[in-house]
Amino acid sequence: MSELRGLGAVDKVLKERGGRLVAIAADKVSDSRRVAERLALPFDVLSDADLKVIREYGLFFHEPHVNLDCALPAHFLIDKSGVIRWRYISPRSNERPDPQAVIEEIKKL
Amino acid sequence: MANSSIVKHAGLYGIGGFAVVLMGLALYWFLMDVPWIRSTAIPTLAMIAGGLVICGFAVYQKRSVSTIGSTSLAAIFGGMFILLIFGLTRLPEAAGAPQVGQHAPDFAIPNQAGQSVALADLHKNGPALVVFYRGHW
Repeated sequence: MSELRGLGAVDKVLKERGGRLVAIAADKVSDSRRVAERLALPFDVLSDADLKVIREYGLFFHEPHVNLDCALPAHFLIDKSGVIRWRYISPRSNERPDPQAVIEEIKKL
Repeated sequence: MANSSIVKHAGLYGIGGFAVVLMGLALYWFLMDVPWIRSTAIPTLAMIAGGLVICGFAVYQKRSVSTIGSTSLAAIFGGMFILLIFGLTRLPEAAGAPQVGQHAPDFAIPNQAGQSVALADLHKNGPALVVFYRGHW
């Protein structure tokens, strides 16, 4: 969750280009609100409580250590026509892309 | 000849070494926002190694319950961290995830204020980044 804070810089670059960043988790709206307020995020935090979108993106994951259904950490960069131009799916639970590397991918579009 | 004051205080060196290992573990949680630290844990691994060297030095100077005890604790805590970070973190492959070049599946789900947000609105005027994360816990 704390990794969302580092995405503020990415959000800024997207907004300059007329685009947007959103975060999605299998949280209830009230939990999404808590996350957005606690981290003072400049982008929307969407609630996929029934995991429908997470399943559609092939990211459903039952976390065995805490016995919870959630999403595999992943990034999808989508262009104006709705086509995926870059994606990152974490191979390990402690790996996330560097926000600077994500900004480089946006600049390539 | 071993310095007699170091020998006398070997127990403190042992405890100090264990403390360095513990501080290294605490450091990881504080610096988890930094992606390369989160992925590689290099500062914590360096502190675990440094703490163990101090512990080893203490045991070398004097074999006592205190030095051997702190060294064992340092090794157990350090080892558990390495197991946790590198052994138990592998995630399953997302075989069904949409590929680069494919259309992103559309969605419309509520944001933190309860208002519905559709993917089509996000990339209407520019590129969109959709970030899936593991949730508030």
